[in-house]
Amino acid sequence: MIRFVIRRIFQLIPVILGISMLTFGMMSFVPGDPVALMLGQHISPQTMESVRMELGLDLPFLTRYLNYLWNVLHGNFGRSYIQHQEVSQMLLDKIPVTFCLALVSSAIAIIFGVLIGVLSAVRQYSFWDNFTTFFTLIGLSLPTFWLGMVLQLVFGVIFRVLPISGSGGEGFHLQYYILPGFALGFASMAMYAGLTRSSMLEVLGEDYIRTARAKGLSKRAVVFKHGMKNALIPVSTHAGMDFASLMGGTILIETIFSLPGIGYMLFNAISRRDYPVVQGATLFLALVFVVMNLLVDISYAFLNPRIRYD
Amino acid sequence: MLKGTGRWYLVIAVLLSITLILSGCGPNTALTNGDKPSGATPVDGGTFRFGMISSPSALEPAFLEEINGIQIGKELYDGLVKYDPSSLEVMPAIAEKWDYSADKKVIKFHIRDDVKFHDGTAVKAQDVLDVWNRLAAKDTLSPVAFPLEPIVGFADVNSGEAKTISGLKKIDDYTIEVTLREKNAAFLTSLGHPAVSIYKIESALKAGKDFGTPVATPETLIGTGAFKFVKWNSDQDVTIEKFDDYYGTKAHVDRVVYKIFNNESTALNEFRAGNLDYVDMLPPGQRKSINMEFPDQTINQTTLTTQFIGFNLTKVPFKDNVNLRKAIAYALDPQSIIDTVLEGNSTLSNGPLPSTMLSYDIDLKAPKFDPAKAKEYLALAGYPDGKGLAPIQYAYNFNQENQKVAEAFQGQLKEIGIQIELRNMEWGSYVKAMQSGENQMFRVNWVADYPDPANFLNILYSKSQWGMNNVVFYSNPVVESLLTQGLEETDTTKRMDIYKKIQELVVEDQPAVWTFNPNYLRLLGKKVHDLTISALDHKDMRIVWLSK
Repeated sequence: MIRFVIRRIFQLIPVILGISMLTFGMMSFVPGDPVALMLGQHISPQTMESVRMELGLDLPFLTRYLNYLWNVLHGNFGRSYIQHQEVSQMLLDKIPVTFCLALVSSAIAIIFGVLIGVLSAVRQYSFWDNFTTFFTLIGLSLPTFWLGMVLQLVFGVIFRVLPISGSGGEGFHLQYYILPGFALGFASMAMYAGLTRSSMLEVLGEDYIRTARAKGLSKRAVVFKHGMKNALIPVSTHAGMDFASLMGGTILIETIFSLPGIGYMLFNAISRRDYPVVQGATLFLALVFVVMNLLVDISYAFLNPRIRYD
Repeated sequence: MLKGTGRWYLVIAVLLSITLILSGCGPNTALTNGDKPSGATPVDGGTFRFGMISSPSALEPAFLEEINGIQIGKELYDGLVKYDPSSLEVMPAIAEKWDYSADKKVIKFHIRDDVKFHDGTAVKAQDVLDVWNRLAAKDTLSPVAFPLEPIVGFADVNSGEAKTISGLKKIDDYTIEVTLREKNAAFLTSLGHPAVSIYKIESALKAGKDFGTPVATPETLIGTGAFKFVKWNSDQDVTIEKFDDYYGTKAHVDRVVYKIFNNESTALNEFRAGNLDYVDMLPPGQRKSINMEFPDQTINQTTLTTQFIGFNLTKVPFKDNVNLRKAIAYALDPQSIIDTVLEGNSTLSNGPLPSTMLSYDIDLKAPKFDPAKAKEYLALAGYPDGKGLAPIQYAYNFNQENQKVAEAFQGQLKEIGIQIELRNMEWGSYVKAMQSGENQMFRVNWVADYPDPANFLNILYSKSQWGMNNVVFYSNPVVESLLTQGLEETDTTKRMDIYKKIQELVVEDQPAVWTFNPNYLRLLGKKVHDLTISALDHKDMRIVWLSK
């Protein structure tokens, strides 16, 4: 098992290098001039050229990339061209917000998704089951930004029970994460509901469930103690990757809800061609994805001993 | 079974539709706030909650380039002079008065002796010199050091050859002397730009590169304005607080919180929920519905901004072909675009200056929409009905509105036989392409840095600005000479006459088609009083007050 984990960790190195190169390459080759954005139009072309040289933007791609990699390995992601702040500091400030949003979103998606899925499986072909099917379809089709705006209007403007935007300042304020968490996690919730339903239906047809029923156990005990425990294995392995997807999918939601996380920062940085910030944020999100993938693999291997370790 | 389920689907669909309708017609909660009789006595206190769209880039004066940074910066820092919020006239600020030498090249500024930094220490002449030298320094890389450019020795400091501007002298603790290379009638006005305002340099140097960034603290960001810095929560809000020891008229509100949004609809929802006192930018396409939803709560301000279609005068087909340029000017109907695409969000432009600018000439005879004349000029240009004219490229920085306007222009020019190829570009590439003369025809939007016609005419039409701001590469020796005269003439009446003459000549040469002077719709709460928005788009937080 330990060898398997170590091998998987080493396999990450080329993946991360590839991601860093891709991110760096994309920002280098897309049209746009960060110096023009930094210095505006009052500066002569000569000064612009000298600034380009000072920033090393005139160097060959590979040299620039190696310089960048060397700095990143030393914890130096550079300084924002626009806000003049250390990118590493910016990332540290924003990570907790995005992490909390993904966490709340995951919690909403899993709790409600699983509950809906279980109820739907237990009452197969009932109104509830049909509603769930409809709900799953809607959940997967609704545009996140639209749902976000509707939630703002209903709960923030009409009923005024939840904040519309922001994170509430320093610290974690759950109420600020509920609407964005719901909007972000709605599609996942629908997916969990569908996944739980099918998994639960499969489990409920197993012999040991029939045995449990035959023993005279209550319906609740059969469903929640014996059925759900096994039905949730595929759900739990899916949760890791879904969490990573939610972390990476925060750009729209953070922008709509003015949540100062990585997604919001990335949105601003892309629109202002703030290369160091875009590179830092993208690399971070990719790292989250890769690490979560690793954790899922390890947990899967742990949960299912039939997976080969070597 | 299926029948029953179908009925439920219908019920759910109806419920969803109701939710949608309700959400689209949210109650006008801001209207529940108290009203005030006009001419009421201002009340002190309260927090003004300002809805700002997009984060300021920086709060260091040397980087106050975009409007949101300027909006906050001008409250935190004072310069030697300031603008009257309504008329934009130059008024004393840190300098209580100034005298000119006989040749008008030397200005002596007398600094007030009661000006304090936000840490309570006194502001003296050396502080002004230090801040200006830092602004001009090569390493600072300021995009807005231009107000100091006319001072003797600026170029040496800006190129890194000297550390101090030789044309700046401290006479005593409260007097500084500024020597200009040439007479410059716009210099004093340009000193109202917040880039040249004064802050405590010791704390800025201590903060290093973190000065004016979101990690700034009240100990490192020490200004001279009517408000002092409290906190900048990155991408969330900036809080400033009334400075009790301010030398001038003190602000009415205790605090201003600039809440930052990236999405206009979210800001509007916050306003509807009563969480904002003011929204700076509204969702595009909703101007009419917002006016209906919030009657008497909107301000429509025309700004010192001009938008035009520039012709690259060094490139075919516009090089040496004024008739083609005039044909395009007559073929375009900007008013119809204002009425439709722009929802009335602009006024029609008749020349190089916006209508709110001093020396604007209302009688200027710029071509107006006239398809018959357009065809006439097109034939004179050598392209009757557009025959023989290759498709012309029209470049613009991409956003939805620019795209729609460009498509409308394309349709209008097609009417007289001119084919246009649209080229939407990312901002940085677009600026670079304009400055390098890569495009044939392009959209230009110029926002005044300071309220003087020189900031339009000398910047956009002088040969000295080729490759920088004169993106049409216009050059006319007579205009060039008049531009110099305009800059040097200190008699306002004579100066305005010179600029009027320049406008006539530029319009005659038609290096551009001046299309729109944009105006912006703003939303304010019912408790807000005396909010002044200047033509420079500055919202004055020093005179605004909130009723209880």
